[in-house]
Amino acid sequence: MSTTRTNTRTLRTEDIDVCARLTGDLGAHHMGGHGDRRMAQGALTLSVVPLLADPGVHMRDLSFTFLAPVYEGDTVTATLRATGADAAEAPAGTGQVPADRALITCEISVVNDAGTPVLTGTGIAEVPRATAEGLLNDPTGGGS
Amino acid sequence: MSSIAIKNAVHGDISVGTVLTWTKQYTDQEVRDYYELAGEPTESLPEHLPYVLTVAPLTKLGGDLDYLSQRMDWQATRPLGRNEEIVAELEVTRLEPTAGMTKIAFDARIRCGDEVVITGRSKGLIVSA
Repeated sequence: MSTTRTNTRTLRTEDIDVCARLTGDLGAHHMGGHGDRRMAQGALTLSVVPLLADPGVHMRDLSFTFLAPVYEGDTVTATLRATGADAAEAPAGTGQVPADRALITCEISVVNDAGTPVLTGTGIAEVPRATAEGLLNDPTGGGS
Repeated sequence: MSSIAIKNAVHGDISVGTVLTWTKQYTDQEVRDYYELAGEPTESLPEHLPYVLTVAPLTKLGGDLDYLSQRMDWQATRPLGRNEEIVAELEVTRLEPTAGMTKIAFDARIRCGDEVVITGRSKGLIVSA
């Protein structure tokens, strides 16, 4: 059983400023521009990915590759495909799974307005069991 | 130990083995601002930090170097409490200046006190070095 959630957002110049203040990432390509456009922080792009900011979600494992830069004014669509996972899939050294919680595997992709992939990744999330059951048994197969 | 080093305005000379550190403790207002940025409700704050904020201090250190990450891998043993003090560490494991850029890689750690909560790796480029 799997489900897919998507989220679309336009990353504004002021979002880059807020992200810079919150993360401290003041890289020159974010603040002064790369060419004539400011590049969004990776953390800002990740803020669009569904599930990552949901309360009670603990990412035990997250790996991602930045495929192309995201610039101010770009509209990005992030898709997360979640699949039920066995406790045996927990990354080594990250502890037992409590009885009231469950693991799900995540496949993440982010594309820009042109449909060009800008980020891809995989992860293992530990979530409240009720959240996992609601997510994975969503009869619509997911949504935004 | 390699003798290759680059100079950085924030951290000084950097070579393989250099450990960059940054300590951060988020205010509730910063957590609220992050949830707003992520398009999430902000009326009541959860007990734990949102994931991206737990690793953000590592991106601060990368930003100090004008680092463009190509790949990141992180593993976490537990979620971080909203008011915990986080110590981020990036240890340089590769430094390879080439024409117009420097290839660089790190081992990454997030500590709370003596406890290592997040470990990982990252690799990418410094274009301006």
